[in-house]
Amino acid sequence: MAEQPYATLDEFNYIGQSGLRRKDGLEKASGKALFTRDVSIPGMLIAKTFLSPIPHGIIKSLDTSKAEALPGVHAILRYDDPELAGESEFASWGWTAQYQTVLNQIAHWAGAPMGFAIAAVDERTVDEALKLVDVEWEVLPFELDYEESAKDEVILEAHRELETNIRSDGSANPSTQGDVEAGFAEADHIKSFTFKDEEDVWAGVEALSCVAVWRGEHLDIWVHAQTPNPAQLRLAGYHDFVAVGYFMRARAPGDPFSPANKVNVHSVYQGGQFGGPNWNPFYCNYPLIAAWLAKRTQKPVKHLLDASNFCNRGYDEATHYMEVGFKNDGTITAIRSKCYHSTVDLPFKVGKGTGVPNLLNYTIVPYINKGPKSCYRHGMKESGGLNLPFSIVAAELGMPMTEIALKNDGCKGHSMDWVNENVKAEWGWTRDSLAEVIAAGKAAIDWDNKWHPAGTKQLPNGRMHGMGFSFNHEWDPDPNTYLQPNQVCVAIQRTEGSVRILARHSDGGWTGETTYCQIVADELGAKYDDVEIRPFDDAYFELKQGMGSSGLVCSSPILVEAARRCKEKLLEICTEPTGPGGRAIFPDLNPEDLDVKDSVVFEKADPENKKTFYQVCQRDWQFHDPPVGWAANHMHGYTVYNLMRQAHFMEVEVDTETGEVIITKVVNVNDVGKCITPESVKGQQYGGAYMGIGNSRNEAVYYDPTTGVQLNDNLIDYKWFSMNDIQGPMEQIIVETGMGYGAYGIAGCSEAVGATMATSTSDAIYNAIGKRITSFPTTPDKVLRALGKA
Amino acid sequence: MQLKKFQHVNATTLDEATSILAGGKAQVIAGGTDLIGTLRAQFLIDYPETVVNLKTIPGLDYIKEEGGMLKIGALTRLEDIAIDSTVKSKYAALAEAAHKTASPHIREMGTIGGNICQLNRCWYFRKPNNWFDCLRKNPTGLCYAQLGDNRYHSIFGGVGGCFAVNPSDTAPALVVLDAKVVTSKRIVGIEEFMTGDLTKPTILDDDEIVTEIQVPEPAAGVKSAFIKFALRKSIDFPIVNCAAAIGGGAARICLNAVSHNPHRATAAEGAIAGKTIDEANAEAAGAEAVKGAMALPYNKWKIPIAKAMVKRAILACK
Repeated sequence: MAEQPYATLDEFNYIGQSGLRRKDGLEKASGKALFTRDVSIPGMLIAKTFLSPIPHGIIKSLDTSKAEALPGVHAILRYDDPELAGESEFASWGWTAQYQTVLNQIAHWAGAPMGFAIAAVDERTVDEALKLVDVEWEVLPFELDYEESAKDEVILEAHRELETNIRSDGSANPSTQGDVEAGFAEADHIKSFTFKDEEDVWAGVEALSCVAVWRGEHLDIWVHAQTPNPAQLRLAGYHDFVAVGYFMRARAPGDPFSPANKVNVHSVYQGGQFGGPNWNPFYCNYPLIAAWLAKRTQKPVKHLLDASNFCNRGYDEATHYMEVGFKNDGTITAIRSKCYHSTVDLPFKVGKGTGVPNLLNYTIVPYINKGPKSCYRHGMKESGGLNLPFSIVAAELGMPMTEIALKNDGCKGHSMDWVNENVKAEWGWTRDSLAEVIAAGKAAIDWDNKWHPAGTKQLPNGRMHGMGFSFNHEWDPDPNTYLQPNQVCVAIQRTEGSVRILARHSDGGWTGETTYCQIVADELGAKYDDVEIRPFDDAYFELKQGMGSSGLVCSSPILVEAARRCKEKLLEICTEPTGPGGRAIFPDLNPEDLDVKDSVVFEKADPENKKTFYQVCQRDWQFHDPPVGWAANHMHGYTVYNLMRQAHFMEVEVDTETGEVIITKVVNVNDVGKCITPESVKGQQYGGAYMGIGNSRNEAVYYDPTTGVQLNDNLIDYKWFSMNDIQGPMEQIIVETGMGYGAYGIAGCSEAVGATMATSTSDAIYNAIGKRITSFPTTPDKVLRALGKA
Repeated sequence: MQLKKFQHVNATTLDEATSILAGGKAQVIAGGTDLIGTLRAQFLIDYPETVVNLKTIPGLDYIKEEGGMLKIGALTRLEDIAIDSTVKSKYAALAEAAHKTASPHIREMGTIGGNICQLNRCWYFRKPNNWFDCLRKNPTGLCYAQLGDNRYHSIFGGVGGCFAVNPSDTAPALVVLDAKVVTSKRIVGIEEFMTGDLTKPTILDDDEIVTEIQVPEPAAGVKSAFIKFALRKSIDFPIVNCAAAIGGGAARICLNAVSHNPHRATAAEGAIAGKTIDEANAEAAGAEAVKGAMALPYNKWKIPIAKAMVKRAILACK
């Protein structure tokens, strides 16, 4: 049997314990937590960037003279500013592949920040000044529909001498697993269906902002960002950069801005806004504009994005043309998908968590005039690409979807028999995660008694009763999937003995600070209350949340390593003869003779021979190195298999007169490998369920078809769900099989539920009314149309 | 966006408030739950130079029965109406409508006077910065909803070419309860008060203020109810709502959010008045209520919902 692929402990003290005080709890619950939007510096100016009123056009001329003359205006930064000229086109706006400079001359969508930015004494003056700028436009044709754009009847960017609207066409090089044609050939049935999802958005609770202040040649900047490091590098390497995802080339000689060691990026608490490299244009360009304006005015500048941008930059909008081949016994032999815009990568997302052997998909990405797409939260395409084929196969065979899921369980196209023999045996793993999560969920929702053939159960209140299910693999078990330059230091304070975790970290709201301290406390042998992290400032070290995914999977191995190194150093200090007289703290003992618990070092053979951290650190501190350990992540060599599963269950009542879907019970079961912070995991399940259900039931961005302007860019008209919108109870169940590759066998959770359970609603509606809705969100109008009533 | 600068006056008497209003370019504020959003979004062409706070005028916040009628001060908060035992027992439609309005926080701020005076809802009309120069702001403008996305708009035609809907939850309840609106100048029936006019949705003159709502005590045997359909339970304007008051051989039924003004379902009233309240009769009345409906390209779905709301409001009066 091979060695376990992850760090583990013989005894967990704080890890897995409920009821610990959240490190960020008091600040947040009392309203004292500082968010970027709260940062205020004496003498600070307010800045905003102009928002395009049209979906597509080029600024022909700009007259800013009236705005410049407005009392209170300090600076205007224009797209044609000589210091901005020559700026490279910056990456792309995600999968929509638009081009972006610091301040675009071209508007790609209505509401796009572009053209010019103004700094003034207060927000009111900025608002007024923005309206005083005369903009002359060359209006260009616009298109809001991907498939229409792909027809190339109107070339939208002819001014760039482009001959097609299609930015990428994956048909020549599809993503594959196995032989999809052979898979369909051996199928007893083939079902085709179209799966469509509307654009949905992040709808966060803190409008984006950043604050810049120059102190001599040093720049301090507060950035609302998932990953502060790219902003730091972007600011440092202003000119001549190359941006691909997160990775940027170092600064060029002669740059006007400081190198990275003169840029101090602060990342305080944040009210949302996460997901992927596609936010770079915001959290790199927006801080850059703030820095420029601060440099020009020699004053601190806060750059604000309007609240309407809560509802910009959506995700998931796509049309998938899918086929599934299956046998009479429910074995799925092949799945194929052609997709416009936002792909479901079948081998990556479906293949790695099922035994379906043959998969193929490709994506066509046409240019359109909507906001850039960001993977701010995974959702429908992940859930739908996996679950809709399974649900449709189940419906065709008249079986519960749970049976189809179990029938096709496996990994990378291999059956569970193969997995058991070739993977689990190697690590000594014996548990069957999918069977466990399904069994737990079925018991909690009484599935076996409540599931029924579709459209067959009317309740006494007249509504139709339905049961829904969705499942997926865990999210993600492998630290290397989202490998980044992650590094952390664990230090015991010299002369005093308290423990610090040194790293900047972007607050994702998932209690990372608490979880980090639990890990370090257990690994180091410290009391939980003696360990702290204040992850807001540049400390060179950085604990990232993966690329928005699997944060703890990425950060836990290096936390463990750093804490263990710190402990080694501590015990070394305890046994080193140092100081006057050369006497060790624990004379005549070696480090292996000692252990640590509750912030006390003690002799294993004589636990009463002990010293507190304070006593150790106070004594002779000036004669030995500080008790510090650091670690950085790096590639491991394991072949990783996704063996853990999640299962989500939903009970609904469908009002066939109004199309309303009343959710009466939800059960979420996640195998997280090892649970570090139970309240956090359950909170992630609970929050993810709301996200997934809101996503699938209501959330969509609507545009005016005649002007291309977004209509519901506010939190009234964008119908995000809240707690009161799910009537029934919600139950969260945690399963711990330990088959992940992060520390202690953990896998991610928070992103997983929302990304997986969106199609539970669709499955439940089908079970209730016997009509399949594969266009999301499943709003009442669609339910009524499915019933032939609208 | 920030609010523009304006003068804020805490009025202490109605006379003081109306005299400021008479000076022009002034608006009143009570709960402010609609006005503040309106001012922040800056979607109206005229911006007030003065905002007159009515909450500092004493004596406009009360619920009492007097002279055979319920009297509610215009500054009475919706939550107070929702939980008042008299309103709940005798004027159930109004209590339920107040309870179903918005969210708990907004009900603790919003007033009954403001709820019947709020501007119509349309995402073109309310787009910040007067993005769409629509008919409600400019008589020579366009109704963008007519050609655009009208999924939440009127199913009973437009007024002056505009298809924005009245979103009030309490208004249809007040209509079926035959309420009167007392202003600083006159007393008028609620249906007369709500003109639904494009640029002047109530009869209020520029210097006129709502001071009280009067609801006659329902006749013996009359029951009232209110039903709302919204996309979210937590906080939302209605897709369709409906109030009904039935008994003594008569029926009053009113839908809202389906037209520019609260929409009396007179055909449904005729279909159910004097008849037994049962599933079949309620269903038939519901069908009558939507016979005149004319769907726009995106909002056909509201018709079956309106039908169901009428049916359910009737059944709730049983």
